[in-house]
Amino acid sequence: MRNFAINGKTAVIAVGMSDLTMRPAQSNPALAAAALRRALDGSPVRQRDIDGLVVTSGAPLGVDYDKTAEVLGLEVQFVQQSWSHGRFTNPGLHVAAMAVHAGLAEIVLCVSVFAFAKAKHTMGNIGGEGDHEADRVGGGPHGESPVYGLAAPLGGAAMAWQKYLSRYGYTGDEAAELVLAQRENAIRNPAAAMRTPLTHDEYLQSPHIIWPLRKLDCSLPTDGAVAAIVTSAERARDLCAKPAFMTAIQGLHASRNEHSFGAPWLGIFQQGSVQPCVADAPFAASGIGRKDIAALQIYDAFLPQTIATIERFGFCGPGEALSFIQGGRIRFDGELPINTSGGHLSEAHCGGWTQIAEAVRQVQGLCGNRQLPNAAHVMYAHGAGDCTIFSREVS
Amino acid sequence: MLRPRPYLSGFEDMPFWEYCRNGELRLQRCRSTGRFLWPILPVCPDDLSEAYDWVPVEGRGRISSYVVYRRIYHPEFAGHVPYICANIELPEGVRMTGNVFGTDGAWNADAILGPAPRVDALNGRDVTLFFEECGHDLTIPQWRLAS
Repeated sequence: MRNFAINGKTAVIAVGMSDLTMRPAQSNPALAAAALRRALDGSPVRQRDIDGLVVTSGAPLGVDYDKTAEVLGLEVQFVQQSWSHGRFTNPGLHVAAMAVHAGLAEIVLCVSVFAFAKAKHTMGNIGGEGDHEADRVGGGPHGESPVYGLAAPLGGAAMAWQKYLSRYGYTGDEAAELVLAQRENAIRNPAAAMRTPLTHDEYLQSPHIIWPLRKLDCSLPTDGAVAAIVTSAERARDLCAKPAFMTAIQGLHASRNEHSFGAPWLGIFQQGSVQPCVADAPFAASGIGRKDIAALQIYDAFLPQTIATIERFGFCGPGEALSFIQGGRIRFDGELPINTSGGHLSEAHCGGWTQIAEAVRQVQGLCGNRQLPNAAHVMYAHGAGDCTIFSREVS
Repeated sequence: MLRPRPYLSGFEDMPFWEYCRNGELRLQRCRSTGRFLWPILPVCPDDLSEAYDWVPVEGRGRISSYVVYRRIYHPEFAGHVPYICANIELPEGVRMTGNVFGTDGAWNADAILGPAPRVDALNGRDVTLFFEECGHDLTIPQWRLAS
């Protein structure tokens, strides 16, 4: 039986991130080192205490586990490295939690580098020549089919977005609110890579790259790294005054109905146009209600993922999210703030790890002028069904 | 036109390309479940059986969703933006990727869509199959708006 026995048994005790930059400024291993150094700053944990390592972005976009251990002076007896995709961020964190819960390691470092700025400078736009991810029978992991010019992850996101807008009767301009809200959050975040104020008109003038998606609907091609230190709930209380306990975990989903850019009922690519099924398990298993979530941190390489994630986790009904986000509800002082550090659209694209860092820090009360008043529970969620709820206490 | 070379595994996908070269769109259909398999699969996912036939499809489709590329990702598409990529829903129960061409055989998206198109201008539009040589000694299925 799936009983989510791990809920409440582990915690993140510290996070750190490198500078987040739109231009390459450091080597990838230097980014990893900066993230770890900052995570350890103020923590009693030293490099020698770390006995597990999780990497969710290897070379060339990031740094492989062996080089990471070598550069960071680690001696670890548990390692996991995944394919370099943001969809493996929650799973990476969950593997770290499982390793400590299962006794395979005591303190696991998750550290991942995402060097999209370097990739853009050396290879040009992500998804063109030299991108071999699409070289599979049936297309790439975002629906790519280069022979038809359906190239780049953005193409799959645009396909999902067109289906969403047409199926539910929107024009697309409604998305401005989400982009403006995240930019406003980034302006409050000194670490964010994009802090220029943005107006509604400027959003509407943002050019379409792959219609119906605009440039401003896309993540920033930044360089950056995030480190997160995971241990058992018990050790966490010894090592840290304010751990962020992982009170609800749900894994990445995969099936014919799953696509990383649209809810499983949307009907893009081979998805069925099936009866919507909302993810209740994280809430039911933890006893934490949706109303208890102080903020949602969402993986948003492209804007449609935010909308799909809000619906999939039942914060509103299918097709309603683009209405739900209006009227200030998701702004910093609204009922359900979203991506309080700016998200991939305005903070940086570290494959979701900056959103996890933000969730942890909100729960720890370390967010300074963007600290939410009652951040007892903050959720990081991804459109393909995986999530983690971070909590101040284990109930 | 010369297009980026599609990926061929050399295995279960090869008959598809052979049929296309001969101007025929055939898809795998599982003998026991009757289900059409797409994208090309090594087995029927319902029963893991390799017992399938390559069955000709009607050659009709309906646009389920579509996007307009305004950026060039592969140099072969220089001079061809803006163009439309679509998910085409076939009566056989699968969705295929393709470009959408106008009734006149041209595929400039602005010409097909006209000024200030609605966001759902093409959803539900009927399309018919044709074949295009894409270089590499390969032919691909394509779709033209039904007149």
